[in-house]
Amino acid sequence: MKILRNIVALLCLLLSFNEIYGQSGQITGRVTDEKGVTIPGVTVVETGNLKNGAITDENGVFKIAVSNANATLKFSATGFVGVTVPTNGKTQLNIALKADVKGLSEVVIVAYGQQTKLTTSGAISSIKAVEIETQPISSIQNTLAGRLPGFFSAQRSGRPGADAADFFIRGISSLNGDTQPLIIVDDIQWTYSQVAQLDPSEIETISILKDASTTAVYGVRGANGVLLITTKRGRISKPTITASASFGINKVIRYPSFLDSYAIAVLQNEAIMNDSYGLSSPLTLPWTPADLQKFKDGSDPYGHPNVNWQEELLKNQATQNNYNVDIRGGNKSVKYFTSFGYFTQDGLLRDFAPAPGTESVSGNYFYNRINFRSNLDVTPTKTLNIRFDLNGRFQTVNNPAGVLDPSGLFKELIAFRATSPLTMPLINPNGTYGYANQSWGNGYVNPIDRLANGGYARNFYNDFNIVVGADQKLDFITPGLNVKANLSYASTINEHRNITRDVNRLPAYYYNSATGTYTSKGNNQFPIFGQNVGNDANNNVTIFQGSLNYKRSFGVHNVEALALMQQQSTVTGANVPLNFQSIVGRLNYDFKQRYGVQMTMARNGNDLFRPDQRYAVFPSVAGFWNVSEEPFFKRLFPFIDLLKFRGSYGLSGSDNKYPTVLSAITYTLPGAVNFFGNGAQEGALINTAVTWEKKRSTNAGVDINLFKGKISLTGDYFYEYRYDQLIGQAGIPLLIGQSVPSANVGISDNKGYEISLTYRNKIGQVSYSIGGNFSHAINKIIYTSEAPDFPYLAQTGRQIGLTKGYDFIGFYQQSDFDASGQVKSDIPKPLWSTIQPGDLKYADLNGDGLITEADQTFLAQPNIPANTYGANFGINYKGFSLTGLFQGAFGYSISAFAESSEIFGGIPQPLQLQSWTPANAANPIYPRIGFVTNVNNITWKTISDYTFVPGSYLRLKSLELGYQLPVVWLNKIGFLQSCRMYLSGYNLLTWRNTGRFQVDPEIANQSSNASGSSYPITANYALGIQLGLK
Amino acid sequence: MKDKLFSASKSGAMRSGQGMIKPFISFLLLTLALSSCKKTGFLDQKTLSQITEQQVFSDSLRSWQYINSRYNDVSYSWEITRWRNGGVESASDEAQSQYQPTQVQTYWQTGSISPSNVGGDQVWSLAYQQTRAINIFLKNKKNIPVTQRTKNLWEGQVRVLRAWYLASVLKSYGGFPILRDTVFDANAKIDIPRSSYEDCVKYITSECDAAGALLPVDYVAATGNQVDYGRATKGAALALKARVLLYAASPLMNQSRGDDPGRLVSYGNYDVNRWKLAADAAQAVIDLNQYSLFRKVTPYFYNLWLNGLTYATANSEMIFAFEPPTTTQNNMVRETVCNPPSRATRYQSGATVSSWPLQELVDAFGMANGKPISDPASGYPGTGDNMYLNRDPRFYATITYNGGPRYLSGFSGDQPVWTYTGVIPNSTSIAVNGALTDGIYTPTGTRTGYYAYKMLCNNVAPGGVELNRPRILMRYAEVLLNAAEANNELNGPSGQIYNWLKDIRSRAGIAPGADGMYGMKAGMSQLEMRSFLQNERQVELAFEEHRFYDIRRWKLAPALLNKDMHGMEITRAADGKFSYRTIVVRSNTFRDAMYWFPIAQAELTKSSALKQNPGY
Repeated sequence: MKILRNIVALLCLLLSFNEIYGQSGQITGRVTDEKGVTIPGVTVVETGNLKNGAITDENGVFKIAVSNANATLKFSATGFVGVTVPTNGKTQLNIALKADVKGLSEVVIVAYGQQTKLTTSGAISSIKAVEIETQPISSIQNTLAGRLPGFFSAQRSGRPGADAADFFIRGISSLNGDTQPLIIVDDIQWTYSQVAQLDPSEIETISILKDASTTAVYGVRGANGVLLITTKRGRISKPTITASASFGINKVIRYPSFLDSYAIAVLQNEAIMNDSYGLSSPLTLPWTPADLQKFKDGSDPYGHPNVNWQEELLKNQATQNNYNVDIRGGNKSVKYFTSFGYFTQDGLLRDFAPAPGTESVSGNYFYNRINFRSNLDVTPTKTLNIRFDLNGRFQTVNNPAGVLDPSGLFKELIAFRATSPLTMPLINPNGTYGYANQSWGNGYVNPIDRLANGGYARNFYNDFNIVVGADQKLDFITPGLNVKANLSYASTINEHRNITRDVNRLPAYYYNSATGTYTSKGNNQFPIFGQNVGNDANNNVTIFQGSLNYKRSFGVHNVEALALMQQQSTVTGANVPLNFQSIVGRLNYDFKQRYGVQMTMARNGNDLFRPDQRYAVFPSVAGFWNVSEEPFFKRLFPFIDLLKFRGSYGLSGSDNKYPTVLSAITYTLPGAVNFFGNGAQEGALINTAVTWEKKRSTNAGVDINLFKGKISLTGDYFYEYRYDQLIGQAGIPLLIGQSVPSANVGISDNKGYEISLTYRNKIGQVSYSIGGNFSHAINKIIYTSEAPDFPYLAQTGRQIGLTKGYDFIGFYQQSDFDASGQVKSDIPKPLWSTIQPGDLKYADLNGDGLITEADQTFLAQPNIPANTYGANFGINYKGFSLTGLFQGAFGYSISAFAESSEIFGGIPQPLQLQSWTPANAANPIYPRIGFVTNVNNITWKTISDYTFVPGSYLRLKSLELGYQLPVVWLNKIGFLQSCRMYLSGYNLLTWRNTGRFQVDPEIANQSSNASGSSYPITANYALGIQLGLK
Repeated sequence: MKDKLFSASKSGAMRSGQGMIKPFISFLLLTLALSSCKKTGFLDQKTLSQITEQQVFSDSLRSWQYINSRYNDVSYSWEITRWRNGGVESASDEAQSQYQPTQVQTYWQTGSISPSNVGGDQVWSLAYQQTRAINIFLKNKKNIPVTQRTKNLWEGQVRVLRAWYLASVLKSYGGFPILRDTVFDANAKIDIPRSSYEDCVKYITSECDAAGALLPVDYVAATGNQVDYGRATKGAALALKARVLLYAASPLMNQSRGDDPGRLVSYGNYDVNRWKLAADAAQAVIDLNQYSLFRKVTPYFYNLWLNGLTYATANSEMIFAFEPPTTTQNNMVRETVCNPPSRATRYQSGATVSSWPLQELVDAFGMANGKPISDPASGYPGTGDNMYLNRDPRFYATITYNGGPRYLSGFSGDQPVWTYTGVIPNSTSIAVNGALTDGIYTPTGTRTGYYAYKMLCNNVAPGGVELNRPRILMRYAEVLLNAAEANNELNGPSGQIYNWLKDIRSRAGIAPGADGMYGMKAGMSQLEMRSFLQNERQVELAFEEHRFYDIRRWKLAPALLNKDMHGMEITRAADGKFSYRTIVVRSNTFRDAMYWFPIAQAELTKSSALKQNPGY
């Protein structure tokens, strides 16, 4: 309500402004480029009378009334070198603008505005969306790594509708998991999941803001960097209709390979032999030679099954299609961009027919998305621009409900108990399904039965945004001043509809092949479908922004200023609104574009905190020196278009996921705590002094353009010091008797650099470009609240996210044991289990002869790459174009300490064929196998660097071959303006190093249920066509 | 239209430049106004409705509920699930738990217990959580709107509970930091040293005395309210004091040791008078004349555990207990952990069975005539078919053995539990082929050849009943054994000691014999009586959180725990004949440090004043 009141007040103000009409002689003309193609939208102003301006229309024609016959006109347009032309009393002026090959007038999108590459002093990387809009992917962040230096990402899943990569700007520097960059789309804050839904063809530019000079204006939300996206808007031109369609397939990059029943049965016998170590009489082997023979020759497919469930359940590829229509155009009064997109993606599950006579309920994975956007600019007067944007995204994500493992189907597919090849036959001879009934089984019903009859879990995500705004020029007060107000409303409504059955109670029968009899699992009827429909997230965000902008040149002095206030109110579900308020000021000054300075300030307030901790000020200062603008330099080095040094220093912050600060400890009244009745309990202690987390950032950079834009190079070095981080206080003794609150005590830093280099050239009709970039970031914990068991296990001074564990040094060999089978007294051994030959051997770091907790150390590197790089190329010849991007990362660790790496926890894999045996004592890659749970070898209970491998990969992330039909052909067709066809691929080739484990180098992370249990990442191929209609 | 709309301000603009500035200034003012929270209230913090300390203690019902919550953790150290899949009985020579390599009981078994891995034990943290909560109560006591008499009853309860929690710390960890009535706030700098063992004993016993003075002997009689049955009474305070003083007089503590300069786990000398204090304290409980051994429902030793939840089922032997809420899970918690899979409760999914008695415990049970099995006159036939016949009746209420009869759904009359391996008869009846799930070496079955039965209810199984019951933490039989032990150490065997033992053994169902001695040797020496009492405690108090601590305070742990632990492998041949073999279930390790729990390393790191126990 308060926001609304403010809007009304401001709109009244805007409407009260007036217009200035110029006088005197009329000049008309046409602006073209060097080839004679007309340029719409060129700004024409009379020098010395900035209030007097015009814009060329869709035919490149302008009309301006000048104050006197000797006036001069200044023509400027993005991508062209501006010119100033004397009118000399003419009434007709035709102008040809030269293209700006040096790229110096290139516009850089920054917070609440734009700057030119020449005068910006911040660290910004950006790309035009046209470079990625034909990528066959559903989430734009999946293709930004390798294109934007400083952008780090890791795609953790390939599941339709949930495949968006985690991304970080300049790595991570947070101790409390606050790593997500701020995402701003057209000045409005979006969430991680929302941006993953954005249709790339709606986007104009994508930038990341990395240093304090660009992020400090976002104050408390800027500490993790900013992903800034602007969408396409209308422009002065004839209406252009673009229709595009692409048809593609997704292929799994690599499925893990598993052993077959025979190999597993042999390993099970080997395990029992190993478990018999030290026993007076060996244990009975589970499989007789006759059993093994049956597994080997497949002569008893029901009693001795051999089913590759992965192959039976999954396809190698799925389809995806993308359709988009947009219309863009406008004149002086109205400019419009409207877009409609539809994206659909199938899953990798095969389709299974439901049991005869039962309902069919689709349980396959799929993802559908409808996007629309309408960005409208209305210019009722020469000085007022009204903006009205509508956009929405409606998505459906479907998942099979017949999966028993809470971590999903792909966890189940690596679990030995559920889906080992000898668990059960694919289908019983009479067409019924079986269940896992061996001693190691768990009663899991045949997965086909479950997937075909289990139903689905379907989620609907509905996002709707409205932005209304007005921008009034206030040239009548002082030239270059305008006032702007935006109100945006974003609503997210998520729902689910689940149609499910209790899959444990599906009919299933154990078929005894020896007797030919069936035993029911207990339920012979299909349970009825239950349905569960409901609302999930229900959020809305209202943002109001009002700003004053000032931009003016006084001869050699160029000044730009911004004053902005913002109020944001977020309502999540039934919670009280969270209110946030910000005042921002920014001042830019440069002298002849040679020396420049920028100062920004943001003052933020947040109602989470108590009044005295509520506000914080986030300032920044930055400057540049454009050496190439020095007259001497231009003389000496004419081939250097640009040599600019930049520097910035400033403060930004974060309040991400902070709890509302309570003023008193909350007591609870739990029911029936004992036979006497209900209880009453004190809640956790509180910290009323919670305040903002802050980050000081220093950035130094250089921009170099050579040989008329052929070569451009940008380099940045940064150092970030992040303090007042809200972290748990691990240093308080248990004597306090209550949970202790988090406090603003954590400190960490992060430093690194980014380099990018581009080379463009043209040889005859072939134009080509090649570029590369490299980003490095490494963090360090300076202070964290901790109570390590041993001083050397303190995290302080180390990287964030390291894992503690033992140092794997090989395998116990028979020579380590004495005649009675005990480990020799001079060989260190752990006490946690009995050690036998072939067990994993860890280093006795403290030399006390035992392996204990004291021998732990910090292992390997964190799971976020420290280095990421990209190399791209593009070649154009006549209508043909070929572009590609290689992207890679290194300097991180992959861990595989999940069940999948444990024998008979996961389905045995080829590496386990090379386990330690007396015969293979020289070159084992896996410890001796066994059934007995030997904690020493269970890699997720005794964590060691045995399961850590240095991660690195290089991917051919994208490759696209396109062909643009010649205009002469199109003219024959008549209604087509342009037509482009392309063949595009994503994740086409992967070179990886994941050591002995079959995991994806991006997915794998340190969680006991990860490591190969996620929906696999896919390579996508698409054939597309883009039509421009007349 | 446009001209009309703008004409007013247009003429204004013509009139004066000042007029132009106005909107600009008003915008600036507006911006400033919006940014000031005091004027607009945009950032005023919302007041969330919450219950505060003041609101709890200004309300008599909430204060009473606050006391209820103080009982929540009294049975933690006693539970068979203390460390999830095991408790102290499986860290001792009583039971084998399911093999859980990263649980505390396994660290005790393998000797790898260390300051770094003891964190899985919550005795320390729960004691200080409850101490804090109790101290908050004491701080607010004066504001509670109830009569002084009620207030005394409440204060007495919470003070005896605090003493109970701290006594659990004392017996596991030794001397602890005494906080008395301190309540720390969130910013407190906490660095408090452990007090000596002696000071901690003094503190706890003085608290027991003070609490006892505030409490009635019979809570229901005092309030006239039957739902108060089971709350802490004067008897609980005095029995706790007796137990603490018995421990304090025991060889492990009542000694001088060179590696304990801070006297954190020992007195620094031997003083026979400590046995006197222990004897007197136990006598004080006996002299209340409030308690007697349970003889209400036969078989007594079985039904003892099933009575005492309510006033209607009052249990004359129960001195202090946790009275759990009546939820289905509580109604079968012990069966869930102990029942053979063939009798699994609905909370049991095959793999959670986790407490199988060891042969060491089985062999501690004598015969029905009261003689130990090592006595040739006992009639024990040795390992073989008849070895479970005619045993001490307490055996049948403590252990489920091969062929032991247990309730089975669908049958009239109990059916045998089969723990054997070998040839299992082909049948569809669990009564016949139960060894498929219950037998030794099966994935779900016993590891020792036995199942625990103590404190279980036979009928709590699928198709049976649910039964909520108290978890009895202190009972009269223990007080008698405490008194017997202290008096024997002080003055040697006496007629009084024999009478107490006869009471216990006759209730157990042991035959009095022609001499009326219930199998006891007449005229035992002090030494003979000591080892007799040690065996009697092992049998009478099995699975009741005693054995682990008893063999430590007697300093018998090195002999009893540094060796292999055993089970009974019974093999059935095709002809139905059984053969028997004693097997090693685990090799157990005991180091001298393991007399006491290590203080968690994290706590030592956080607090430099805290000192570690000897040997760690």
